[in-house]
Amino acid sequence: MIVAVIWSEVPGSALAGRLELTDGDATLWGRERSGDERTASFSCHDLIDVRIERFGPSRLGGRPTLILEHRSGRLFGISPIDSVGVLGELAERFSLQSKLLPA
Amino acid sequence: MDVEPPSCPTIMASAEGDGGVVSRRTLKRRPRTLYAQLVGVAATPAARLQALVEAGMSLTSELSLDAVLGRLIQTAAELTGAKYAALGVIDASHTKLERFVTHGVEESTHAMIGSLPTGRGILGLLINDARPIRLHDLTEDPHSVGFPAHHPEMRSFLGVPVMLRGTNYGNLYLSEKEDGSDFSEEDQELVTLLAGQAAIAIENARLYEASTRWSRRLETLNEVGNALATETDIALLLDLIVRRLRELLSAKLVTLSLPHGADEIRIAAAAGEGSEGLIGNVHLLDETKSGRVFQRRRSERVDSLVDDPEVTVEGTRRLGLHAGIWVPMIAHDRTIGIISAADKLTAVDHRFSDDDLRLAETFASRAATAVDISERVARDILRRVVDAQETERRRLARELHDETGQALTSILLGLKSLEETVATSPEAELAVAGLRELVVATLQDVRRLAVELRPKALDDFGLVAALERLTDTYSGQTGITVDFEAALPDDRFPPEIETTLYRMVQEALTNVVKHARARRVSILLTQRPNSVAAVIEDDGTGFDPTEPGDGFGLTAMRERVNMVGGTLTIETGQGTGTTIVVEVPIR
Repeated sequence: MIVAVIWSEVPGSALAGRLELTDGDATLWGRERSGDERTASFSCHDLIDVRIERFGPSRLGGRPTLILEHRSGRLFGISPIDSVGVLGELAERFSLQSKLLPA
Repeated sequence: MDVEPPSCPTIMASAEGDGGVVSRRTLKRRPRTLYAQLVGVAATPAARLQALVEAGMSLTSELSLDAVLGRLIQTAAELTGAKYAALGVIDASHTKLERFVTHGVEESTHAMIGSLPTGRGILGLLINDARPIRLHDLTEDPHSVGFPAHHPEMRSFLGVPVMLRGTNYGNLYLSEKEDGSDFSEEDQELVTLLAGQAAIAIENARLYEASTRWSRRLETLNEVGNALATETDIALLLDLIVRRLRELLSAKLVTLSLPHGADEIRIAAAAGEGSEGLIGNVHLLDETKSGRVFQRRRSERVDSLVDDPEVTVEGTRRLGLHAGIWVPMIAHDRTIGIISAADKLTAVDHRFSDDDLRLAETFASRAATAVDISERVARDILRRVVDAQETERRRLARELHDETGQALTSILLGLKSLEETVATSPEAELAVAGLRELVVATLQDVRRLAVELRPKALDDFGLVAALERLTDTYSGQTGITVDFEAALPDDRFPPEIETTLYRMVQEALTNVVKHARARRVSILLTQRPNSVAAVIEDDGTGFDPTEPGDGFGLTAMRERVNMVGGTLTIETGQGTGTTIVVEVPIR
């Protein structure tokens, strides 16, 4: 599954790019407004929390945002672009693959 | 006095021993043969003529070519008292014998002689110069090339062409009269008359066989046509077409290609040897034989693929192909595809015949209609689904915007009044402020969701206004610069066209974020004489369009454009950026 997203590693600046989710692994690629490109990869099994932030400062681009907490302490915020209903679907997939919810 | 006819008429070998197509016929001995009758009545000219007429009538009533040939040589031998008789049937090229039917030689002798002649020596002389030949001793003739081993001894000889309306169908050869004499002029005249009747019989039998064969093929064609008419799943239909045509033609390989964009064709189905891996291959129209025949809209037969400059040498060699036919699939005067068949498995030289080409054309015509209907059905289903989806999206967007949005706005106003009322209590004021913040965020989400579902501007103000808003939002979110230019008249286009173009641009922009790594995108809307086009160009990494798979959602985009009769063209390459041209006809 490949989705166009705005994402950031919290705290950090927002990047526009993509999320690729395959076989329990997630890869984020994006470019900042400055032009710098960044990539982040992790296994869904190493996530210790998956939640949606609908209000407050964690919103990315003024949108509800999926927050992923890695066991290493890294925190990722992901907000799909122009895809109605994808946020909920992503939250469900991450939860299932990280075993945070029963399949 | 009764003279015994030749005993056990069987097989005759010829005066040469080169290779040829073997046709054997062992004729049952009849109780009293024509020859016996003739000799029995002292073989008067009237009796021989009567026998000839009866033989002619008997011949022309026969519809099987093999039976005609067998009866002809037997009659000729009996009329003349020849010990041996043979008939060589000349092939379509009129240069050699395609069939050689014999009479008078034991099968065991024939087996020892080996292969039958194809038309050299004395036999070839008659092929090249269709005039009767009468010889006292054929071995002494300068044209003779001698006999193969185990061949019976033959000296006296009569050869007569079997002609009708100037066409030589074959030659009758007679040798060794029973009484040891030479063939007479009267023998020659009788056999010539017999040959004339035989030619009619041969032609009738050939026509009958051809019509029977064609009738059988039409029956099969009807069966296939019925099968095609009941299949509406396009993938299954295309597979059915190539498999059935391959069976009908006895072809080694059959492929079916469909247009892919404006300048390419794509192999959509294949059956036979080497078909694995062909499906999905995309070629420019100008670089393959199929593409060129698709453009010319005329079927073609190629007897030697290596000699045709339009045929791809590499593919032909790799698949070991020799000959082929190409037939365009035309429905409602529109070329919707191209069928090609390679190598007829039942032909020694792999070539297809004119009948094969006719059959393929008839088949392609039916297949084209079936594919056209199937495509229309698929487009109609897709159109209904998309229409229903857009209608549903429009309703939901309106509901969100008008109802939920209004309700949230009312709550906001209420909270403002409440905030003023509870201003004396800091805790209450804080709680109300928090609630206001939640409502503001929810209101933003609801409005954004409504736009994403179906922008109201698209219905109220048209394509250009909706795309201006889309590109502004997109650029603000992603940081990708978007240059949007619309060179369109003020008039609105039909909703179906505006929606299609809007969704195409929307999908293309999403693809740019996901795949292109671009910094800049330009979008140009233009009106052409009978169409409106959107050109979306980015400066990203591009991709290899020949790579299999569809990770870019291009198939769905193409289907959506096809739904309104439009085309999607992609120009890209590794590191060259991507240009997508969507062109939709204005009806």
